Amino acid sequence: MVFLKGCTLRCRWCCNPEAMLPELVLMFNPALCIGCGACLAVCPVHASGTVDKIVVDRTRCTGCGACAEVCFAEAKYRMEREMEAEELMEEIRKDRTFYGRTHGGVTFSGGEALLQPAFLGEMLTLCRKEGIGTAVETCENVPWENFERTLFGMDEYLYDIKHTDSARHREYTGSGCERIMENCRKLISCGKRVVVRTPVIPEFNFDRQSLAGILRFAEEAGAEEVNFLPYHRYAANKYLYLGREYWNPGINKLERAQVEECLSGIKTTIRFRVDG
Amino acid sequence: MKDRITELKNTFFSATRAADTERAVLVTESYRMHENQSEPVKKALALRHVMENMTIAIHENELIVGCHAQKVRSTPLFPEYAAGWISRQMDDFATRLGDRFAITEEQKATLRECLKYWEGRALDERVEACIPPELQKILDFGVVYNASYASKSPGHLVPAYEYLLNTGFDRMIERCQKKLAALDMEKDDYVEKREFYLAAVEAMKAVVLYAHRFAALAREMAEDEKDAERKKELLQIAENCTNVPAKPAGSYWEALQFLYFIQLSIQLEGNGLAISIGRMDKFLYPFYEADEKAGKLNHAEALELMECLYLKLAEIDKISSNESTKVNTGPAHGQTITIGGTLADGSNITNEVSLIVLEADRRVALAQPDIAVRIHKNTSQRLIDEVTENVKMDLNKVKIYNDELITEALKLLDVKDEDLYNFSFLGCSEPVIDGKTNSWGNSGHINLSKCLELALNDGKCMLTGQQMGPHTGDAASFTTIEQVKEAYREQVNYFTDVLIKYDRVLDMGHKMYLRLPFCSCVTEDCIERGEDFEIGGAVYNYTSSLGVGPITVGDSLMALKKFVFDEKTLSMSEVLEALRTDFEGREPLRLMLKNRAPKYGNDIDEADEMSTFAISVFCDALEGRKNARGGGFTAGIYYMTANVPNGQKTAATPNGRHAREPLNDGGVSPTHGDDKMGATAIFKSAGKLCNVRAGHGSVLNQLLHPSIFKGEGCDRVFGEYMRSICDCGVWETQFNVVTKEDLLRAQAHPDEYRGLVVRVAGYSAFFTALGKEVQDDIIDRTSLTQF
Repeated sequence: MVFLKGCTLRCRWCCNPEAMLPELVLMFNPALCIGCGACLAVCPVHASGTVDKIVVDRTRCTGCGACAEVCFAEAKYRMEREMEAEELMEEIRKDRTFYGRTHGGVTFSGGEALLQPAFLGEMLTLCRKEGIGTAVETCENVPWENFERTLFGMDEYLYDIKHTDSARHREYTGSGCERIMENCRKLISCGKRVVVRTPVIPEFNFDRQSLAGILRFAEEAGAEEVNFLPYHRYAANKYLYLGREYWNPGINKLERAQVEECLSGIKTTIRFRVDG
Repeated sequence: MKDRITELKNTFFSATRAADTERAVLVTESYRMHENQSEPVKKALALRHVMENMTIAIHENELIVGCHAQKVRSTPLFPEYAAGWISRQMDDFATRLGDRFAITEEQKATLRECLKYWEGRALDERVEACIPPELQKILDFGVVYNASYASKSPGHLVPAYEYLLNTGFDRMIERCQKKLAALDMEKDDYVEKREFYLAAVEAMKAVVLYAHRFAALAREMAEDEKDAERKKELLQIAENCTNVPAKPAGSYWEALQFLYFIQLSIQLEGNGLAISIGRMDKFLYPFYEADEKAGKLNHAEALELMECLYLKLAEIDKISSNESTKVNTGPAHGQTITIGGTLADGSNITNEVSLIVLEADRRVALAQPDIAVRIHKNTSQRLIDEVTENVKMDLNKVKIYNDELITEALKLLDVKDEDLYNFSFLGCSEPVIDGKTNSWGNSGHINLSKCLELALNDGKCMLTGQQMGPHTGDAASFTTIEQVKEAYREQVNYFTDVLIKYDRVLDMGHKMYLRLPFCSCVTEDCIERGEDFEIGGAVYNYTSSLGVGPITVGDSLMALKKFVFDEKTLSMSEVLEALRTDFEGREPLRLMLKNRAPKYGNDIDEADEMSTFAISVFCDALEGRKNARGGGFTAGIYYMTANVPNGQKTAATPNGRHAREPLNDGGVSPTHGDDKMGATAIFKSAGKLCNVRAGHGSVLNQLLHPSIFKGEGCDRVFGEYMRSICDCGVWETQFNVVTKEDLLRAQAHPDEYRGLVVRVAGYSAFFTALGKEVQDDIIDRTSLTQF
């Protein structure tokens, strides 16, 4: 998996909040901090608190990572790294023994990988040259042009359809879903393999009508199948380390059985399954 | 599962691990009666006395019979090997930390009586008397250790089952008698050889007699049996025990019964570990096939018989000293079944028996027997799929082995071309040629991490200040990493030499005082040569010593190279001072060493090269050395729990490890928490090590969360993943599927479990990076039915 930073959506339940913004961000896990104070000395904007209380002052922090450099306890750290295509390729090649055997390859995710079409295109060219399979996990709220620039080298699309009601979509993700649905149809008409993935989220789409709408759309558009991913809060710590509040619908998780129950009785011809 | 197996399992679990003094009494009686006899004959007569007089029973529901001691899960004692520790420690048996055994006051009194005879006569005392005091002084430092071979028979063998099952003891006895008659009295080894053959005949007769006692008992029980079905079974048992091991096995059932009598007899003759079974799918399949074709056996019956055998193998237990228990804890004694691999023509072996071996294990699921699977490029998908099933069931003991790599390693050990395909595994990862090898596997170990400590302190222990190793210079004055590496090499050479010399003395002690006539009968070419197993009668004779903590060494060297010699951000004296004081007041320095230097297990070449170096130095030191049976030494980089006691004796190390903490586990597993790049990186790193040179193998443990098997196609991917591990060049991998208890431990000690990945709804995360609430939820869900 390669996660590219920056996303056009702001889904409340997002599991990779560190990848949402294109800017550099600093993570801070206070449980690992030994209070050595090394970060105090190096922070150019005095955002590290005091000897008695090491913090990250988010109003000042620029995410420069100077503190992470000297934090040997790895309490302050960055999850991202700037890389050139060839450098990333070197990492991808390391697992080549496993790709052939498992019919696997590299999956680009994010954030929204398609926000960096030039870089992604470069990566795809390299992967193609070396016979490494490619897929993208996308929320696809990007101009069609971005898809076009990467169509040549992408084997599979794991395509998020979160809702088919644009107003609801906008309320929970910050953006409507018309472009998303249109891109999806276009992609399929280009002959691409598209698997629709739907996070099932309480309040938002965890109801028969919403899920039926998604199945109907996927069926009409001609997707391969639909995977439903029940809501969980595995990312809670990341919000904590980013100093951000995590949206809480008052439910910690959905069980596979709950989602299956919600789906029961919906008539559809498309293949779907619920992960758990 | 059929009721029979459930019942047998209930009997097994309701039994207590207990000491049994019967064998000790009988052996002592026999030795008292036969003091004038030669060593081999004394040993054979003792076996006979045991086989003739020990209490036997056929328990309800059993189809495979035989008794290791009077009760299920009670365990015989072997005072002829070591009496001292038994008298000193028998009071601890029931209360010590690991591996407890019940023992009554009456039993203790009986034992004390026996032990009196063995004072000064037992193997360990006699061997000890042969150790030069200057060698003993170095051994006492504890950098090298081999308590096992000083107080046990070598064990670590695979009987020649293919030959035995198809020949039977009657014909083998005849063969011995012919050899005996043909001996030339004018030859200087006449007496030696004569005694050997007399003892061999006596030993085989003893085992036949033992089988016949079961035949008689079964017949007697059948007479009183009301249940017609059971009566029929008892009569069949009687017939089986009449036939085998005297005659060749005539059926699949008889073959299994034959095998169990051999396993038992070896383990009643001596107390060695890892009495392994070898290539079961190779030697057993013809019996299965013949019975199946004749309509005498179906899959369910074959499976049930295999399950009955497993339960009997599980009964075989060993009582070890308090010290050994720390190094090797648990009721697994290395009775390993090997499946997979190739036939003589290079074709893939997989057959019904290979699958039955795995299926039976899924159903019985006890600590013994162990199962080793040889994987190569033509291994059938059926076998891979079945192995995946076993791993999924949390059967932590299925181990996968890399056929191609191990074949290359065996070539380096001078195995003849015609034997190369025919290897199987002992308790851990030692490959042996079936029925032809006296491996002396796991013959002592050396603490490689301690050697590095001594290299950094001019040969002095950092914990006690004692001069243990040679003077290799003041490390503070070293200006290149090469100097550190050279000092390490010098310390390893010195202690390996000590270990070799010690092993040789032990080997010679065994030669002088301990014969194993029965082991000689089941190992080629002892009978042909008229030479005991202990003298060097086997076709292949090795000694393998283990290197403990090589990854700790490699990562330490890497950290020194980076910070002290390349970047010069730390001075050597600063690091040494920190190590001597166990980083007191220097936590940031420790964390820098731990978290900011490249570590093995992340597919980083320079780090992996350092661990390769740490191992190759040990291999170099063993290369070309000869043991006392005419064979060579080779390295093993595997150990069960020896990283813990060795860690306790080792000061802080430059990889950021605190003093007395465990060294890296398994053998070539990364230090817990230092593997940050995922599973594939670990295998890539492990594959880069000089695995082919460590001829008795290396072990990599991998912890898996059951969630990785969720979802469509995961089983297939896992199967391919196992094949890929072999493609990487890893010797052996053992998967441990985590339990709730493991996860609770991971919550409390996150540093040790940083590599553990869980999957949920298309999302993967490191378990220890998750919040407590989420962790609790996963713990709740971690059972095999849920995921």
